[in-house]
Amino acid sequence: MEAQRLRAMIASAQAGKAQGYEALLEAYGPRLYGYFFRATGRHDDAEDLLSDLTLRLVRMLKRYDDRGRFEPWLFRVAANIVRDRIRRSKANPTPASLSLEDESGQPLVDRLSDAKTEAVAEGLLAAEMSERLEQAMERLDATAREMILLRHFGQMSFKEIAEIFQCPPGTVLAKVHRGLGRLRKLMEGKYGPQ
Amino acid sequence: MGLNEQQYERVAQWLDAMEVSGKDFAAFIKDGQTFDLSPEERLTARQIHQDEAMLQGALDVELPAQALQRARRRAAAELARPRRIVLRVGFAAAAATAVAAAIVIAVTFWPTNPSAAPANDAAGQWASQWINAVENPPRHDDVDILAMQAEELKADMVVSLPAAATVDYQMDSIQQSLDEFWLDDPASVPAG
Repeated sequence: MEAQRLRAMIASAQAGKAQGYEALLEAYGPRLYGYFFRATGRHDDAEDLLSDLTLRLVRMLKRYDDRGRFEPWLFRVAANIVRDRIRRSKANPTPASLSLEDESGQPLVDRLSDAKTEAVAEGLLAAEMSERLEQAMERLDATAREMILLRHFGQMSFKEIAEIFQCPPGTVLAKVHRGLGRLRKLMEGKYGPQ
Repeated sequence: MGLNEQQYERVAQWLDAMEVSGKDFAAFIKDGQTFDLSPEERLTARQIHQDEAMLQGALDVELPAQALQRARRRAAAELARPRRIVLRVGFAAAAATAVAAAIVIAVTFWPTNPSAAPANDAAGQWASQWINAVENPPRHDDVDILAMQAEELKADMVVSLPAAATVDYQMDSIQQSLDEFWLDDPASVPAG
């Protein structure tokens, strides 16, 4: 994003104008939502977390120092929210369903007519890929997964991620390297779902 | 292929610098020294680069409109919060002041024990009459009593005023009585 435009958005939001926050949400909402969804595996959780982040943004943006990069700051807040949620969900676990089945347990694809099957084939393929990726992500070490997601969605450097996790950048890189390697193998089917 | 901690550190610094500079796998100068990777480190850096590129697009998900709307509403609500707090505090302060004033009036004027508070007798009687008047709509007898008391008060004032002012006051009083007479009994006004 253009630095000048981003500065204007931040300044508007810091002045307490709703338009400033709306512009920031328009710009970063998709990436933040993607990060939350991939971190939790649930759309309703992602929606909750995006809403929570908005609240924190309104309360904390006044303290943001414009000299730093905005994305790492924003995703640091997002990472803290995800960690809080994971901590809470460990205390009160709820079963998560990732299968593409209806309420009776039948695969959703069985309910589609032939004509519709072709029309939605692409969508289903994409959904299947997304689901497979989600399952592969779930198999990763939680820290490695979070680091990979922050690299992708937050476009953060290894040094910036190291500051969040309070470890050397080399440690982040080692975890990301191993996590990506495992993810690649899982996606290739070598260690696919049993 | 396994790198040690120091090698991972070098690869991390190298990749960060490469992303900032936009240069692709070129050596760069750091702290006055040429900074380059060994072939083994380079391979790791390239592998990470490729794996991250593989995820490009695959990880992205569409942001549902309802999620964006909810976030917007949350921002708007939070932005409106300070104004609501000020209004609530103002209302609470006004209510507290009113209650405090009512308590002070009640404590000051309420005749709990007439013998114990002789100084407040007159005020207490006045408060009792006022409360009684509010609780019971005025009847003719009550109005007469109040009118008598008003007249007594007027008389007291007349006595205390200087002579010239007394005449003026009496004239005003007569005029007021006449006005009230015509207003109270319009049927007796002679037809013009």
